[in-house]
Amino acid sequence: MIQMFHVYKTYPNNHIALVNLSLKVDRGAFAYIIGPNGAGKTTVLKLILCVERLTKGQIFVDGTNITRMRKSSIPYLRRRIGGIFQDFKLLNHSTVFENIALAAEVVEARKRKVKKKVWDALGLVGLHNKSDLYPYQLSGGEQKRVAIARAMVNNPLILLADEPTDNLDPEVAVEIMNLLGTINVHGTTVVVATNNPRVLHENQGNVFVLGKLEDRQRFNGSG
Amino acid sequence: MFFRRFFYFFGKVVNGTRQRAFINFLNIGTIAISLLVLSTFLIIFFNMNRLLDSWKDEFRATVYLDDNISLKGMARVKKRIADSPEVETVKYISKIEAIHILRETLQADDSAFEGLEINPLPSSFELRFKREYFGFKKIESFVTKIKGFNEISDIEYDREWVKGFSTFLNYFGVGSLMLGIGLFLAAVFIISSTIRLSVFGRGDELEIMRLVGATNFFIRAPFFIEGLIQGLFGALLSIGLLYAVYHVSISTIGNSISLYLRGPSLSFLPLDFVLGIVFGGILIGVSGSMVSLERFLRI
Repeated sequence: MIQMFHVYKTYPNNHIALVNLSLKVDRGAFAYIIGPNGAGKTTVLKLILCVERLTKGQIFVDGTNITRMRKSSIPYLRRRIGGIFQDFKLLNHSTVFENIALAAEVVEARKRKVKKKVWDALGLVGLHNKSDLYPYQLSGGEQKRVAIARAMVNNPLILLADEPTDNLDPEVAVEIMNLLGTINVHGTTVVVATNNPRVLHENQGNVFVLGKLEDRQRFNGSG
Repeated sequence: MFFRRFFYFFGKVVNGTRQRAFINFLNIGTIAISLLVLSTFLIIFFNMNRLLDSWKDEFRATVYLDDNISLKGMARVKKRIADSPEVETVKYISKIEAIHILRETLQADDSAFEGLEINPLPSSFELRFKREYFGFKKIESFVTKIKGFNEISDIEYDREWVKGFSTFLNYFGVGSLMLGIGLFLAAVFIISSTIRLSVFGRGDELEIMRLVGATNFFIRAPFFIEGLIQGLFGALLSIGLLYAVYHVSISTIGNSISLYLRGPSLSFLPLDFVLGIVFGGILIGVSGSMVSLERFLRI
């Protein structure tokens, strides 16, 4: 589903984020990218979403080489990938329903279908009764669930989660990881980037370890 | 599909306007005030032009004919003058008419002219010039050309007035152009800065839309409609305010000004100027939105 070959990424300020990274995540797999802060975990997810373009190497997503993907094609790639971001990226002036609907409206113009997709996604994360609330009225765990619902509303092939358990109570973190496990069981490939090794004990999956560049421990893994 | 999408985008704009009522009000207000300053300048410029045109129209030059000129010669001179591109009208004034005019001008009775055995006044042509040919140098060169005709004894016009007025017109033209461009650029800058601030305030929303797979068209469309509506309402508001100011001015000092300046009565902007302001408002609103949006659409 995701293949990275000898990927290098250097940011415009000459910050080197990735050096010679290769990895392979199979269709339907549950994969972890684990490493300390600054190891380049978020960069890997950004490269898959085409938020950042790589400096060198090749990346394939669902059989498509996204390395030289045209700008106009990127939105269609992103519709096949759900993203859960470290800072949630929820709109505070929009309700839970509207936040999730935004992602659905991008691909679906019919109101009735949008509504159904949003309710399905809310059902998946168990937030039916919170649809009219605003994100600031929710707990951190609930906000994370809203972000998961938004990521899943278009039934993506891949779900990328950046630090999904960050700043959550342990029991809420477990709930979130279980939810991601459920999503994976239903066929979605899940990639979790985390610096929390305890998350690994709760789930089985492929593990890719990224080390700090200074330690010269860049991991070349395969799934 | 197209209409469904259009109504979707329109609905988004309506919802967004409700959610960000103050910012939208601020944008429309800024557009209105900026365009009001510009359109106030335009209405002053327009009325000044009308006044200056009326002064140009009042300007006359008198071509005195030689007393011994034949009818054929007179006709030939008239044709040559009338065929000159500078001349708008040529009016023949006979010797008798000339004395009547003099009598009226001096407000004298017949006794003042009783001693005269012959009419000393020459026949003449009174010329009015086309507006676009009005100018000291143009009139001077025309006069030089006409003076070469044998049948003409003299040409009389207020040379000093033409010279001063032409200089004023040149300064007025250049000054108006510079002021107009300056005000236009200031309006564009103020409006686009305000719109840019409101677009930047929605940076999070734009980033999320990009991340969930919205195309650039999908992101741009509501902003396009919003810019268009803000530009339209801002422009209409500025026209409304301008009309109110104009109406109050007309009913208070309008007549005094036109009487004092011996010009036409004050007039509101013609339709093409009004349409220009409306389309200008829409253009600035839309382009301000689109340009501000570009930095959010890079990837």
